[in-house]
Amino acid sequence: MSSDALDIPPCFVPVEKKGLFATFRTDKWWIQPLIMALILTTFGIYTIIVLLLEHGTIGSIENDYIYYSENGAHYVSPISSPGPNALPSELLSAWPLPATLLFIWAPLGFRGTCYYGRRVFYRSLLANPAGCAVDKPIKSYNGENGFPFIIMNSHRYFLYLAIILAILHWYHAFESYFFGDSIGFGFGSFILTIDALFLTLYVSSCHSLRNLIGGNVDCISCTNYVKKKGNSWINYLNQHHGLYFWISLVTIMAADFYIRIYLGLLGNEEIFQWVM
Amino acid sequence: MKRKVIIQRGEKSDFFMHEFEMEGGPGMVILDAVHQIQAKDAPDLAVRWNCKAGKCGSCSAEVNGEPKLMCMCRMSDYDESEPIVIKPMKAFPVIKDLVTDVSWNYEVNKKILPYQHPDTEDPRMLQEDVDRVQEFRKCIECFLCQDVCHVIRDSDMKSEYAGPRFLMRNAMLEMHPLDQGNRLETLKEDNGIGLCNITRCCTEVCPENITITDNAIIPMKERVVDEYYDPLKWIWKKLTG
Repeated sequence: MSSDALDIPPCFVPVEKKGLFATFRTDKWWIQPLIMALILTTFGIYTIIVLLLEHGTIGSIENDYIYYSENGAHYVSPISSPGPNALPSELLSAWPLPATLLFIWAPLGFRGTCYYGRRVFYRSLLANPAGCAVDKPIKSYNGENGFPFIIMNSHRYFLYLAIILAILHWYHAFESYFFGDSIGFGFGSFILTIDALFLTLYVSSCHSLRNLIGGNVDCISCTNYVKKKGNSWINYLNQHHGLYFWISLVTIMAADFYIRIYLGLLGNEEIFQWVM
Repeated sequence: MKRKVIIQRGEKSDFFMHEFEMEGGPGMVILDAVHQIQAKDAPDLAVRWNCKAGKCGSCSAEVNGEPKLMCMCRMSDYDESEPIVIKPMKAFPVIKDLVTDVSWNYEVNKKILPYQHPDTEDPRMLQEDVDRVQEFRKCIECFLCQDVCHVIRDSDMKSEYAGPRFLMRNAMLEMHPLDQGNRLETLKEDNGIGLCNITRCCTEVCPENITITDNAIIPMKERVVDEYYDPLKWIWKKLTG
C-alpha cells in the first residue's frame, strides 16, 4: 500500500524530520534546557570572575575578597569556603593560583556528578538529548560506561566532602552573628544562614545518601529506628532534590556576591547590621 | 468542529503521511478520532487498542511528537487551528500504520532472573517493605518509556541495553524483601545500566506516573556502584566478610 495506490494528495508534513534537534513536538520543549543552560553559564562566568579577582588579573589586589571583616563583621565568601585560613601558610605561599581553586573542586564535583545535575548537564549543555523525543546531534554513545562519564560513579565520595562543606557553611553562618565582641545580625548573617540551610537540604536529599541510609537494604523494617526514620526523611526530601539544587546554587552565588563583590570589592560601608 | 488529523501510514519501508478531516466533539480523545477516521474514511487503518481507559497499554503512539497513550490525551488539549500529527512509536519497527512490533521487549524480559523464593518455611514480609516495590507493579507495559529513551530511540543500542521498563523490573525484584536472587552483574553487563544517563524522559512520559528514574534506576545504579565502583566498600566487605 502506498499513497499513490490510495490516490491521496501529498501531505505537507514529512514522514521523517531532518536537521539539528529534529522532532515532531510542537510545544516549546527548548525553553527549559535553555533557561538551565543560562543559569549554569551565569554561575560559570561568575566563578571565573571570582577566580580572576583573587588572582589579581582583574580588580585591585589590596582587598582580600574572601573575608569581609569591616564594621566588626565576620563574613566568609561561601564559594571559597572554608577559606585560605584553613590551610598552612607554607602551602598557600607555594600555591601560585587563586586559593579558592584548592576548595572549589569539591562542591563542583558534587554538583557535576549529582543525579539531578546529570539530567541538567546532559540535556542543556551536551544535548544528549536536549529534550525528550528530540533527535540527538551525535548518535554514537557510550553513556557512563567509559571515560569521562564513568567518573559519575564517584558521586558518593563527593557527597562525603559535601557533608563537611555543609557543616562549614553552618559554621560561617554562626560566625556571622558575631560582630567583634558583640552579638548581632546583619544582611550577611541572613544570607549566609539561608545559604547554609539550602545547601544542607540539597545534600540531605542526595540520592547517594538515600542509598547509604536504608536504600541499599531490601528489608527496611529489619533495620534500626534511626536508619528507618532517616530513610523516610530522605525519601521525602529526595522528591525535591532538583528544587534544592537550583535554590542552593542561587543562594551560594547571591551570598558570595554580597560579601565578595558588594561589600568587599565595592567597599560599601552602608550595610545593614544590628548589633546588641 | 472540524479538525485536521495527519496519520503516518504504510508498512515495511513504504511510509507516507495521510491527512484526514474529521468531526471533533466534546470530551473526545485522540483514539476516538482515529476510530472515527477508521469508520468513515480509512477502514484499513491499523491501530492497536483495547481498554480505552489507560490501563491496557495498547494504544501507545506519538501525538505531535510526544509519546502518549492515545486514549488518554484529549483533542481539546491541542490547538484547534493546527493539525494533530499521529505517528507510531519511533523506537520499534512498524508492522502497519500505527501498529509497531514490540516483541523485542518480551525477549529482554525473558532474560531477567525471575523472583527467587526463600527456602525458609512460611516467609513473611511487612507492608512497609513492600511499599517501595509496589509502585513498580503499576506498569502497564505500554513501552512509552522504552520509546522515549534516547539510548534505544536514537542510538539504537537494543543489543546492549534493556531500557527503563526492564531496569525497573530488575529494581522491583532486587528490592523485594524476600527475593534471594542477585541481578547486579546482569544489570551492569547485559542490561547496560551504565548507558542510562538519567535524563528522566522515561519518568516524564509514564502514563502511570511511576517515578522510574529516581525510585528504580538510580537505586539500582547506586547498588551497582556499591558492588563495582566503590573501593572503600570493597575494602570494608573484605574486612567484615
